[in-house]
Parts: sequence; C-alpha cells; structure tokens
Amino acid sequence: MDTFFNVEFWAFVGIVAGIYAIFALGLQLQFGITGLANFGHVAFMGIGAYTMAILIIQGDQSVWIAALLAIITAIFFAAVIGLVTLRLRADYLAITTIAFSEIVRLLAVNLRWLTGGPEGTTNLLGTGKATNFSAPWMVLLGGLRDRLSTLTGLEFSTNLTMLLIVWMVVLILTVLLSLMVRSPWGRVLKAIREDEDAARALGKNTFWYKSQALMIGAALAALAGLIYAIQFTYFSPQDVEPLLTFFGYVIIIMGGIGSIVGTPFGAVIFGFLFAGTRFFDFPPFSLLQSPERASLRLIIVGALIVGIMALRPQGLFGKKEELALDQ
Amino acid sequence: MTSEPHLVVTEVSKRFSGVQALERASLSVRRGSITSLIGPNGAGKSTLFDIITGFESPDSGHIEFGGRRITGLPAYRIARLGLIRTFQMTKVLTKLSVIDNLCLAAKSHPGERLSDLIWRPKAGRTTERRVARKAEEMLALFRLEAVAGDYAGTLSGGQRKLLEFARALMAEPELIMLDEPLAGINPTLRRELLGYMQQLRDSTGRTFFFVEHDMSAVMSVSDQIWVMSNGRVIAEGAPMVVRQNQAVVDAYLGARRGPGPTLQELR
Repeated sequence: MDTFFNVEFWAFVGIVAGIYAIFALGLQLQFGITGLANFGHVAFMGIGAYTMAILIIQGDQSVWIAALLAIITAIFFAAVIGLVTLRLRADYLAITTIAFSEIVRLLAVNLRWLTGGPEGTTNLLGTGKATNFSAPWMVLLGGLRDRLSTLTGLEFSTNLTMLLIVWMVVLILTVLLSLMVRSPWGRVLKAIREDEDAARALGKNTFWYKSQALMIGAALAALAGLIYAIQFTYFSPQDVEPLLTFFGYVIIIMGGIGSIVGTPFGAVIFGFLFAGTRFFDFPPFSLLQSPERASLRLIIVGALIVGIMALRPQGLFGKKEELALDQ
Repeated sequence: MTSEPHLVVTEVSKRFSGVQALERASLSVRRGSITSLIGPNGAGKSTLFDIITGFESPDSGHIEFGGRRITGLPAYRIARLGLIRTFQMTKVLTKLSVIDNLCLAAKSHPGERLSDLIWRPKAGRTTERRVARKAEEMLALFRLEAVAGDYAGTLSGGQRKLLEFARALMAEPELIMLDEPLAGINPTLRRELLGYMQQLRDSTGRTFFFVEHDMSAVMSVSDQIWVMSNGRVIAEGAPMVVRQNQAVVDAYLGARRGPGPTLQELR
C-alpha cells in the first residue's frame, strides 16, 4: 500500500507513460493518419536506444551527438524498409515490418561484440566490465533538478525533473504533429489512408508521402527508445519484444485512431493501468503469490481496456461518426 | 476544336490471366473535343482508362499525351501533366469532408510539402485560402454546397459521382477522363452537367474523354465517338455515323444479356 502513495513511484509511472506517448505518436502518424500498418514499430525504438548506447560507450560520443545520430540511424532504416515495401500492398508492409523487428531483436541478442548480447548494454565492453551510458545525462539532470528547486523553492527529485522534461517533449511533439496533420500535407496523408489510388489520380506522389510518415514515425520511436534507455540506464533485447509494438496499438486505439491529441491521453491511461497495477499489494492482491499477481495484473489491464472500448469504441478522442463510415 | 490530337493510343494490348482485355486498341482524342467511348460491358473501356492513366501497364503498345509519350510513367506523374481521371467505382475519401476532398485536388500546393510548411508557411496558407474559395465555387456548381462540411462517406452514390467530377475539375486538367460520370445522377442535373461540359470545352478549350452508357447523353454532346467490343476498337465517327454503323449495332445486340442500350436507343 505504501507505494500507492509514493510520489516517486507515480513520477516514475508518469515518465514511462510519457515515453509510451512519444512512441505511440509515431505509430499514430503512420497507422492512424496514413493507414500504414507498421507492426515493427519497436524495432526503431531498439535501433535508437542501441545506437545511442553504442556511440556513447564504444564511440566515446557525447549524449547529444549520440542521440542525434541514433535518430538519424532509425530514419535511415525506415527509409530502407519503405523503399522495399511501400510500393507493395498494405498487408506486405505489416509482414515485413514485424519480420524486421524480429531481425533487429535477434541481432541484438547475437551480435555480442556490438550490442552486449542477451544481457544488454551492461556488457557493451564485454562481460564483467559493467558500463553505464547514462552517467553524463544524470549529471545534467542533477544540475537541472537543483536549479529547478532553487528557482521554485520546491523540492524537486530527479524523477520529477525527468517527468517534467519528458512531458514537455510530449507536449511539443503533440502540438507540432497536430499542426502538421491539419495542414494540406496532413490532408494528403489522410487521403492515402482513405484511398491511395484516388490520391495518385490527383497527382500526389503517394510513395514519397508514405515514406515521410514512416521516417517521422521511426524518428519518434527512436526518441522514445533513447529516453527509455537513459531512464532505465540499461537496454536489452527484451525491450525490443514485439509486444511493445502492440502496446503502442492499444494506446492509439484507446486515445482514438486518427487523433494526435488523444494519443498522450491513451498513453497515460495505458501507462497507469499497466505500471500502476504493478504494486497492488493490498488485499485481495496481497493474498496471492507474486507470479500469480503478475498474471492477474495483465488480466485486470486487459479487462479494463475491454471496458473502456465497450464504453467508447471510438477511443477517447476518436470521432464516432468516422467509426460508422467504416461499415 | 482543332484537329490536333491531344491523346493518342497506339496498338495497346493487355492480357489478364487468360483474358484478352485489350487487343491492339488504337484511338485518338482531339484537343478541345468532347469524345466518348462506348461499348458493351466488358469491352475493355475501363481497362483502357487504367492503362492510359498509368494505373495498369500495357503488354504492348504506347500512349502519347500532348505529343509526349507517357507509357510507363507513374500515375501521379501523368496526373501532374494535366490528365486527370475519375473512376467507375467512385473513390471519394470517406473520412474527409466534402470540401477537403475538393481541396486535395489542388495542384502544386506548397502546403503539401513539409519543407515549405516549415520555411514558407505563408505560401501554404495563401494557397489554401485560394483553393478553398475555388472549392466553394465548385460545390455551388455541382449543387453540393449544403453538404460541404459533411464526411464524403455520408454522400449518396450520385452525389459521390458529382464530387468526383468536381474534384477532377479542381485539378485544372487539360484533358479529363470520366468513367461513367452520369451514373446515378438525376436527369435534370445530367443535362446541366452536360451543358457545363460543353461550356468548359468552348471557353477553356479543355478536352473531355468519357465512358458512358447513357446513349442519349453520348449522342447529344459528343464530337466524336469511339466504340469498343471485346477488347478491340470497332468503330469511330460522329454520332450520326456511329449510330448507323452495322458493327456497332451487332456488338450491342451480341451483348443483349447484359445491360446496354436497346436497338431503338442506338437508332
């Protein structure tokens, strides 16, 4: 019960929700707006996190350079994936991206010299030489925390400072993407989602627009990945499980398919349901063994999501009229 | 109308897994004319449309538009050259508003480029205002102003045809290819649309090339008619000439089981 009232714990949950929000915003642009069924979104998160970690530890780069190059690398891979799949029918994209994400995960497991293998980034310089790529960031964060505390006269913890930073990023991205989606550029993306041939017949280079959506989405996934890696000071192949992509889908469905603004809200609900149930240690949960509790937690999360969807099938910010048009 | 050809199709053949959809089909459309393409269902008219506009590639043969060879160009490039088409099965963008459907058709819109959105945001906004005004005029012309803000998916079949027609015109095409533009549209509006087509042809020199089963409409507005049957072009000429062509009458009689004009309608 103690954790339930612990600010630090909820700050942590909030950070994770923010990371989910950034991750899901990319997916919303790709799937919700453009109609691209990307089932390998997590791969770009992994590419982002690993590229940054490797560049900091093996390449001796600063956090900023490493982060920038990590995002560029993810964009590059998105462009390549797009080049080979976007001319094909939509279902091929789904198959190719899920295969790609598994390839990335398996490479992370097996390319020990590059990724540290199954134990993750702690082994980046070989086993036994534990490494930490977050140290420079933590120094920055600590400085910012102290300045915030003196500025406001309140006691800011490291986690609260991080929470603030992450949600600032979420806010900026949400505003930016909303503006983009409402522009004529966004109108072309939606047109592609509705009927690509109609857009082609009107002179739109749909291939290029789909590539852009894929690349921007990948950049957002990479950004989420590197924030995730920094927050947890560690990244491993387990963080590139396909399940995470589907968490992204749960978030955009709950927020409302096609709604940029709804996405962070979906992420908060999902994040709090998922992480928030982790420490349900009061009765009746406390009567169970911890593995049982873990399973029960997933069941509860699932049931709550089903409940929300039954009440609001269009999601929080989705439009009910649009749902009716699908039939 | 000049005698200069605007669109020339030369010996185009296309085979779909065992079915010869087109067999050395050749035709031409004069600049500034209203030209129609008729023929029984399954004659290959829509396939020919798909090939001309780059949605399908021909097995052999080639296509010239405005003196330029366009065979093998991607569909969007052909559209940008000024050849805009509509579809037999309407392709309205259901979850976009009716007015957005029209605005989408605007050509070379700076707001549609990310780089321009960032570096010249004003250019995009100015263009968008101009485009929206034009879209409203178009809606009035096509009697769609009452549904401007509605989702296009809520429109009736006839309204969708109108929207597609209007959207094609929004793109300011030099040549506009309409696949059964009058299907599902009431007779009064049909007459108005045909009148508008003639007016546009005369005032802007725009070329119209359309497939239509409404024979009285075809006969009344066409400068030239091409007739297809079983993947071949079987006849060509002015309405009077085509009407009396025995091969045309036979083609339609041979396809009597499907919907098509009766002998009386042709005569």
